[in-house]
Amino acid sequence: MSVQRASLVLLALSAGLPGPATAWPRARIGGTFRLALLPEVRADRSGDTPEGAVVRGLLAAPLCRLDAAGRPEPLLARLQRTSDGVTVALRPGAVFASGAALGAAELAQGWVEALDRSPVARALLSPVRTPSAVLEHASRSGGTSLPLPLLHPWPDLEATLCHPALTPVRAGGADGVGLYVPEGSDRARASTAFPEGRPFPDALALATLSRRAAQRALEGRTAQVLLGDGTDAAAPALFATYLVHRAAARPVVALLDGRLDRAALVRSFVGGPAAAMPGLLPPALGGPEATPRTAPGRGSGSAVLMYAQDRPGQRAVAERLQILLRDAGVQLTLAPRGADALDRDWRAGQGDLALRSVLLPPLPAPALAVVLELAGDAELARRELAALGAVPDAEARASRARERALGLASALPVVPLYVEGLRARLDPALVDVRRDGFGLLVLDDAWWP
Amino acid sequence: MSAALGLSALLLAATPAPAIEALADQLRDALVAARPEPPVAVAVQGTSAALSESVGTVLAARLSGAGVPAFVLAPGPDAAARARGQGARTLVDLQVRVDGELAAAGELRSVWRNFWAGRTPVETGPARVVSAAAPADAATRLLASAGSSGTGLVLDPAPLARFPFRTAALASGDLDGDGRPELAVLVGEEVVVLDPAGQPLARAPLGELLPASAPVREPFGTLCITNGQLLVAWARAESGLVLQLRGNQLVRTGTGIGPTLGCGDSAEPVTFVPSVARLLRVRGQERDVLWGGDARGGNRLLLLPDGTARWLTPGGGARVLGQVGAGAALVSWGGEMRVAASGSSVGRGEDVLRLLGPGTQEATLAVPGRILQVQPTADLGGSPALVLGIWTAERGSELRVVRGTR
Repeated sequence: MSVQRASLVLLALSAGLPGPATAWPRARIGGTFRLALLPEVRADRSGDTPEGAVVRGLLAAPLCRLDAAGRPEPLLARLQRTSDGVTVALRPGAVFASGAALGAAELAQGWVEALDRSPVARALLSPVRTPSAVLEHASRSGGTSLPLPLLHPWPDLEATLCHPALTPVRAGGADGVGLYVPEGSDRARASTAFPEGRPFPDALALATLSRRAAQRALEGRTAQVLLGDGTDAAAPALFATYLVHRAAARPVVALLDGRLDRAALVRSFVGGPAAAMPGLLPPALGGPEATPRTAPGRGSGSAVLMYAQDRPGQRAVAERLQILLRDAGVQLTLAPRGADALDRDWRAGQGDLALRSVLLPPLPAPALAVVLELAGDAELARRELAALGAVPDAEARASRARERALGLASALPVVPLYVEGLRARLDPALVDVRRDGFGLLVLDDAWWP
Repeated sequence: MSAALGLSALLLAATPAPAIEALADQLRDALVAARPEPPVAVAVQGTSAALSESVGTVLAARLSGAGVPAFVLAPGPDAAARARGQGARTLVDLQVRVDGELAAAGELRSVWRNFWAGRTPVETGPARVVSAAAPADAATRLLASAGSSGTGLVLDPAPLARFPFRTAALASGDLDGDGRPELAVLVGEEVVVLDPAGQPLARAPLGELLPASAPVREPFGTLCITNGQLLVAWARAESGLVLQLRGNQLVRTGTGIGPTLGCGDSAEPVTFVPSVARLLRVRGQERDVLWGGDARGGNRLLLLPDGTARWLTPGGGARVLGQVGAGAALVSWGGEMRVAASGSSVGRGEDVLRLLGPGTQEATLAVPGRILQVQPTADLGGSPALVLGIWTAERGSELRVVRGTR
């Protein structure tokens, strides 16, 4: 058979084959990744809530990713232990959406701003020796590595540097090293410069919708991810809300003791996925699941409670606390604040009580560091953390942290209330979506056939 | 062979498979219209001896019934000479396979040789391409699969190795000069060399290489072991490198390596497409964007991102394979060149490995996970073997061995 004939025969034979497959063993490239966001999720531009952190993570990647087992995976930086601390070695090629390269100066400047606005950032960097001075110095020098000398041993530092609160950002959080580069407020395009490669979709679209409209969008497949609604029991719940108070307001808080039913609070005012948090550490980190109740007492007077006005859960809980304290004879005035203003005003001495919601790291010792930061006693925090950091074994350190959380519960001006997980729903057709150690969705590799 | 013939005789004796009858009727009409000079020799090459015999017998009977005396001839490259030797003036040379439908295609040509043409064998007379197809039925499928049970595939129950990251490339070959093949795996940000039992012998980190200006998100690259050297091309790095195994160290002995289709003498240089897990093959005016491919013994296998593959044979033939995934290799199996290919479906926890011969599909094997790499290996215990790079859930991967039961 001649070559030509052989080709003809083979072509004729192949004509009867079924058409191209519709499914894809490799990721499909292209399309627009559509996220439906509830208004409160869209309001959280700085990514303090789990849902806000998932959205912001697409536009501003964190330094590293904590995998579900708690190991850091490098993303924008490698973390290296040195004799007196940890060095953050930034990955070459990481570029902000504005075009600026990510260097040690940019990272340090971003962290200086984070220290100013986020209690979580302050807590996670508190084991660093004079963090403000170290960062101020680094922000004036160049280079691609940022040394973080430690005040005392702190084996959990690497894992906590992956926290979304320490994501490198510029311009007040608007400029990040993202998988997507913003084009207007609700659209972004895939970044080919991202160090781990461009995302598979070509574009990202954010739609702010009511709960009903967002659910319909997901069902109608005009959105692939819904943030702000939905539950997943498998994910750890680490977004913890505490009632912090001034020393003078302690009698007021004591009145809540016999009146506050955390489980009912969660059921009626917070909504799932959430759980009552009777201890300083949430159940996901081994905190207690119940505490004994005492008989309700009565008092008098008045107090001011600050809360974050953009969080519907906090508003509902603040109103509930107002009613509980009115029953106890105390006039509670509610003072709503923007998320950033709440931290600033509380630290400036305003208000008697405040609701504080923080995304805890998934390790007990650094989680306790965050609680101690909310308590506001720097000297106590340093003492406690130095003792915890001196325990080299991770499991022993975690159980010591749980013990200390129990021991400190009655002494700290911090009343644990409840803990929430990520509220999200996914199109089941999405491939390669995973969860990190914080219980957040990692959508970097997401695609659909 | 005799068992296959017996089976075919049994089936034909009962009721000839209607699909084969319908096919034979169509072929008869096409052949008779070409007015072949009798007698006609019918040579049918099918995926099984039983299928070839049945189609040949029925077609010869149909032709004879239509006034064209015909007989069945064993297929083969020298069919024309044998037909001439048996007194035929015309040869019908057909290929038959079952792929959803029973399809046949081939040619009709004169085997009469003009004495006056001298020593040069000049072919004259009518020559025509004929083809036909009919919906396959159960009996046809049974005939097509008869006798092919000897090429079954078996998956080793335990993985050879497991990794916390996904595999980007896989190669097999002798790196330490002991005559036994080692396995090299590009996984995460390193190359790992494993012994045949799956134990790591050496590692080489790649994280310090200059990053590619447009890196690729999916794990992607090519590996090749040739002349005791390991050639590494990684889509996340600006350029690849050459490594040699010295003791338990992988030593860098060269740089500037790009990706290739296949390995060794038949390797064909290609390039990475920026930002995406694709290879670009440029041949003159032709530009193919590929998931991957292979080159071996003059054959080329090109995996196209639409879920099809092109198999280019040394003679210049081209065959299109359907439903082929991102992992496939050319493999010399039972003395014949075949394609071992993953499936093109995704979203389930299971993939399919298929061994495709010169005819149609010969064996399939369900494999848990997604097969992204298929690597034939010389010897993992005697029988022909394939090593699969499989992506598991949770961003991990494993290597698994598939053996033939022949």
